[in-house]
Amino acid sequence: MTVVSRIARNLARALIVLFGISLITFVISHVIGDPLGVLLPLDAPSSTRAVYRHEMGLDRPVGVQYLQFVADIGRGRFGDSFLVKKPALALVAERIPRTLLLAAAGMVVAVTVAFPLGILAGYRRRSFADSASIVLAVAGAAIPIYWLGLMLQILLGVRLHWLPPSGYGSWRHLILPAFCLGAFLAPVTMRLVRSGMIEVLAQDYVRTARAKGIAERVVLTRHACRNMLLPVVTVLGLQFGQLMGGAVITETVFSWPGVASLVVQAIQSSDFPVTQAAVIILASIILAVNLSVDTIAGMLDPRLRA
Amino acid sequence: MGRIDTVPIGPVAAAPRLRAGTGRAWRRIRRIRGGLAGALVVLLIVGTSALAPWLAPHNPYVGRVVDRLLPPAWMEGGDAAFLLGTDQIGRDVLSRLAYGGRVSLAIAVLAVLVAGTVGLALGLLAGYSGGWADWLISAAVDVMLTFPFILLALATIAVLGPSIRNVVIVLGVTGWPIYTRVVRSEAVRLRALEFTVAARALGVADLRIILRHILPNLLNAVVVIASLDVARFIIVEAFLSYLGLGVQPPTPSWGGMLGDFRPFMFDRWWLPTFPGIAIFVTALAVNLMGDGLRDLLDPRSRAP
Repeated sequence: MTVVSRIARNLARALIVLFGISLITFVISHVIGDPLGVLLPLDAPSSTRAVYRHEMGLDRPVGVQYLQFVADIGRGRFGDSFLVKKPALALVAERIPRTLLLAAAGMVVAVTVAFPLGILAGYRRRSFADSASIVLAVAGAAIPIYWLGLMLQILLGVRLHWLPPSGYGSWRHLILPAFCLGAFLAPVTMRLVRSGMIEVLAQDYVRTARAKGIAERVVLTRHACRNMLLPVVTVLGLQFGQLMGGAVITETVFSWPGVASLVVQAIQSSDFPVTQAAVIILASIILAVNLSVDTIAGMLDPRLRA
Repeated sequence: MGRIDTVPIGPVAAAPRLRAGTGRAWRRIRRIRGGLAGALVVLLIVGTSALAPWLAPHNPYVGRVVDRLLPPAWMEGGDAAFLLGTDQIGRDVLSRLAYGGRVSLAIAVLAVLVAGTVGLALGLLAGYSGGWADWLISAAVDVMLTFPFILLALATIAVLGPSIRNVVIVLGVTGWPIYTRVVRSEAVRLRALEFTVAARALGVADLRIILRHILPNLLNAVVVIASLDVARFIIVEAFLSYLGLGVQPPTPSWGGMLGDFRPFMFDRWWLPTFPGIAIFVTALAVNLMGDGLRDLLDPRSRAP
């Protein structure tokens, strides 16, 4: 498959997913939920309801409403927040960089822990590092990160006063949330690196390199790690959605003012325009990341073009 | 909570030097010792939760104001009658944890049943029939797995309203794609195998082929995912309850207690600590059991 057709196929997939997300968002907010239930007091007279219903187009057929919904999204019109008199899109936009900052920091933490440990565990099977990696993977998958975050806040924030327990501002505020998100991501990454390493080390070219008498350090870095890296990074890139799921939890626990905590607030207060804007924007970011990772991987590694 | 949590990882089992005959059996047991330990702890937790009405020292719904916010028994000011102390209205924390386990486990198991059944049915349909049904179902799986599961669950529960029943529905409705993906690819593989092809050539009805030839061969994989999903759902349910979107007070739940106790993190660290330990230990034990099950039931996916 050529690079162009690969990109075309990925774009088509992204569009289908985006369509699906818009459909889910629409069903949740317009079919199961009722925007009027939030906007009007419970005892509002039915005549007032009818006026609002007509003005917001809620009396039209569901299909027409959905098309209108999609058309509005396409033009970037998400409406005003129900709570604050501001465009929902602006509220979401100002918070995106903070979520990306947290995501990047969490990724750095995860990679710093997971790559060395995973490489060592895959290289020296049944060693201490391997056992440690298994403990990390099993325990890490079971620990609720909202609780881990709470424990970190209590220990390092409240009792030892080393770091601010929550909030946003200096780089010191970033450490605990980044560590928490890193802990969410590290076990998965570590498993990927470990199994990637095991797979690569079993390849013929590694055996050949060793047979040629190349130094083990060079075999490890040039032959093994380099070849392990690309598939692992690709899978990690495709897991960006899961990373955002971790960000939802982390931002909530640490009152980190990013998109994810905004969605949770908006969901809790039935602020439909903000929820919709945030969900669609988040989905677009996730798809953009998936798309670029997959495309770049395809360009770098001819084997993936099959 | 990610999908690739299910990437297999093998327990380190150094081959013991025993006589050849017993060596095999011994290796097998050693390989799943983590699973056995997990199963034992799971049994203990399930037992405690099921027998909570008889085991719990106090009524989980009633407390006396004079007993409020007592520290655990071993700390200064603790009361031996309340081993883990009391909450903000004087209820026994230990008793509430025991009762909370019933709710958490019941929700997780029911939700797994819902997600597993839906996912299995859709996966069989997509994998066996192919065509447009396959395309549609695969696209839906793609949509669901691209987007963070937790956000979908949050948005849906907020609209449906928080209740135990709705938590089960939401976890079930958002949790099916993992099953569908695995079942679909297995069904596609099994459909092409000789025994299925032969059955079709003999004119056996599709439904009968699915039930007799395909389903039994992929059930093990489903059981393994289901067991690991119980842990995932326990953690997600607790998060929903922690946010006030899950189990509602006064019904005790681990996540709900965590949410209630959060404001006390500044001066009573033990309060938010205990429910978290309950969630962590349960999820850990379930995961260990699931990994052991995978080693037993699904040897092909075992880690190298």
